[in-house]
Amino acid sequence: MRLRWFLILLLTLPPGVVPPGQAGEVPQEYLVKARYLISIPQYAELPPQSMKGESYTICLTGEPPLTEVLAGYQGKLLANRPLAIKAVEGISSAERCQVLFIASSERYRLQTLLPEAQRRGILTISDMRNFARLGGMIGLQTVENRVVFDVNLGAANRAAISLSAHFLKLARDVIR
Amino acid sequence: MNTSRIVALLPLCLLALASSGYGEQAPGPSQDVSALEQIMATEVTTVVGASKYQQELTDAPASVSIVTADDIRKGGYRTLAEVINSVRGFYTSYNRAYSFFGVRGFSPQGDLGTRVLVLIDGHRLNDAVFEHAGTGGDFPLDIDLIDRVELIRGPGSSLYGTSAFVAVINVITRNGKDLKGGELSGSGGSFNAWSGRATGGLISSQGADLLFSGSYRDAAGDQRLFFPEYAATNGGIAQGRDGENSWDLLAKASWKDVSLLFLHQERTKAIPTASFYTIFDDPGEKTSDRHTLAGLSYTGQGGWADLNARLTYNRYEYGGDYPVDDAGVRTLSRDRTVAQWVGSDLFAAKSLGPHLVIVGMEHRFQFDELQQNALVSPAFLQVLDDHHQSFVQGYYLQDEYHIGKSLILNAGLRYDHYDTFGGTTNPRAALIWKPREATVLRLSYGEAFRAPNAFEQYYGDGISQKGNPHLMPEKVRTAELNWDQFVGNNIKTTATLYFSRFKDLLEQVVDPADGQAVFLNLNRLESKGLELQAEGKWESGYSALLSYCYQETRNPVGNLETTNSPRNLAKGSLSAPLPLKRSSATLEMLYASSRLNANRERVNGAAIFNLSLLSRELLKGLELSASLYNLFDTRYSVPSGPEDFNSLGESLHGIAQDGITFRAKATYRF
Repeated sequence: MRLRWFLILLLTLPPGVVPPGQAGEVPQEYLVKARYLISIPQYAELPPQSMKGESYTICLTGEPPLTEVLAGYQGKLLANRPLAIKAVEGISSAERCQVLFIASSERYRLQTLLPEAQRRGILTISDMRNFARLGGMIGLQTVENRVVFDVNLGAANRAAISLSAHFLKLARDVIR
Repeated sequence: MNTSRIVALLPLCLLALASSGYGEQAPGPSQDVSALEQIMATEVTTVVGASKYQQELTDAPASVSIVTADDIRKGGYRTLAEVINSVRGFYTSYNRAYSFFGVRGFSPQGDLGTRVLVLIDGHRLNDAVFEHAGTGGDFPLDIDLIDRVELIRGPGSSLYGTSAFVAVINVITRNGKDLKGGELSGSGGSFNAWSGRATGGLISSQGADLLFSGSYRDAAGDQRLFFPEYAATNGGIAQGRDGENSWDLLAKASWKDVSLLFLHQERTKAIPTASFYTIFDDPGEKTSDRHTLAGLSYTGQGGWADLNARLTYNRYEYGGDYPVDDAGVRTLSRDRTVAQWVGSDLFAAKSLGPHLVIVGMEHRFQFDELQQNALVSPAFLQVLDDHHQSFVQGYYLQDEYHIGKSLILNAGLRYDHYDTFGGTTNPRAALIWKPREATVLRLSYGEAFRAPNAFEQYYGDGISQKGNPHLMPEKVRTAELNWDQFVGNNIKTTATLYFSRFKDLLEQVVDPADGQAVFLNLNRLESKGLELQAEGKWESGYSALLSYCYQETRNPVGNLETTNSPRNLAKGSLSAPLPLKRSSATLEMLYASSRLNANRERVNGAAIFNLSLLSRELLKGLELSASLYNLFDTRYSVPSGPEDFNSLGESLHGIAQDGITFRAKATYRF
């Protein structure tokens, strides 16, 4: 009897009560990761061949929940270029990306994404678990209520990307 | 001042960016890392206890509230019970010996706190005999050493086995690196309550993190507690029968992947309520607790999987002195319990494509379950001397499956085996859907069990109470729908609907064959409820929280309202910055509506207001706080339990709680 009461409520509630989409605000961790994304390029020097195009483009694959937050930063100057945010399907459409953020849902595609990004000199960043150990360049990890980062320096160097020593000092873990 | 503190500070972030040289950088990697340090210092809210690994609150398979050390300081909370009472859906009862709490309208009378699992840094605190974890004065950790408290609602047996029946509370302690120096703290307050604490923490040059702390507390308690029901003895006044004294030690060391935890507490409390048919206003009734917890944990990341190992030793010793009237002769009855267990919890976490899988096993050898009772004066007579041991094993599996871009399925299952009643299997599944960034919907279903404890199975004095070794576990099934919505930059709202069905709940009844009380798997309950909460935090330093819970817990047989279950809970708090540097004032309101006591009489509800002033840095390194509890001196009681009878057979209606009290506290860091 009471179970039915509950089920009826369950069925009627969710679609009805979700308010119309406003550019809603987001959990703090998304904001922090977005800030990382637009700050990290300051500490990275990319090879000349990857600095194509007029803008500094941060590409996102796998539709991470950061897209809306990052949209707010579009057009700001990063490395003296206007910042562009672009959602990409795969690495083939990442032609003009300087940074590729890989959503944690794309873990199964890492084996295709990472070597190609490395070949093109694209800085790879993700918040999936153990990203740096899996061959990504910068992994954002939430530890003890702070977002910290791991660096796979080997992966970055193989892509001819150099990272500032001060930046590396702040990393939780540097894999060489 | 509590609960999930996911608060957006977007404008602040933008400011930080604007001032960080962003956009005006010279070619080549920047050497200025101040902006980065700022990002790294920003707190995000995560939970460890919900899935046994760190995850963001929005990914957790249960409804979680977080209370941080900062919330504790601002609210002026003195015990873990006060922290718990500040959180939506939780409510407490203090019977002037121990603090107990209920979750979502469920708090059976006579429950010794066995239906909630309490962890300290992931180590189980519940003991081997009562399976109780103290949250009042008997919580074995100084509240100042808490970094944060995770309160995870709903069944948790799919990961933790027994005790994780209606909630899991994971207390995370501070580290040496949070201190990097010493801390001296002292407080004084009403009823001659004094406390002192000395703590030191450091990080050694080899990277080892060390923390040591010791605390001492003494309170004379209310000198004249009035119990109108006991007016036949000393006019109903318990004179100087409310004192409490305790001390504790904490040592922590961690190095690389290994950490060690040691804590010990001893506490004595006088009991003024003449519970368990004792003589009222007798100086002899008291209770004592000694708890020792030692834990070693290892977390290894990388390799083919993340490996976690946790070894725990838990010793709890209870002593209770009960002066009874034996045909006109004052006779002191003494209970003594020693509960010791060692246990291991080993689990591996591995990512497999869109799956994050954990596989684990837990073993617990409860090698000492000693229960004794003796009449110690005027003549010694051993009544009970019961020794038991038990072995518990559990095997569990959980998968966090990222089905699509915005959908997560978190499903787990655990099998537990007991020597006594055999096996039990408990699942939990949660479907988490984020249709947009600011919206999280979670539909979950879980089952949990609570194994009968050694007290219920074996405690008997041969006269008034006997054991029952054939008890089966209690079971609960819960379905829940939760909706989190972020509104604007600073506000988060939460709405939850839940339904729980409890069966085979243990209840103590009198066996007509011999007149002895015995536990039986008798009771059924159904509980349903609605929880609403809005919380906000603003850059100006203001923060506010408002929650309301409607909860209805009934026995389906006869559709009877259950005892100790308020229908309505409302909580509110408002923190405002004060003109002084880094100072704030916090006003808190806690309301619980009426509840039934053990005799099914109605005990009135009350709204209690507390006010706390905090100055974090009046002088360099000096933190001061002043708090007033029960600001309007409201007279109120919590329902009495089945044990609240004196030697004359008179029973209490409710247990009177403190009127207005104060505390002043100073902490100096160096």
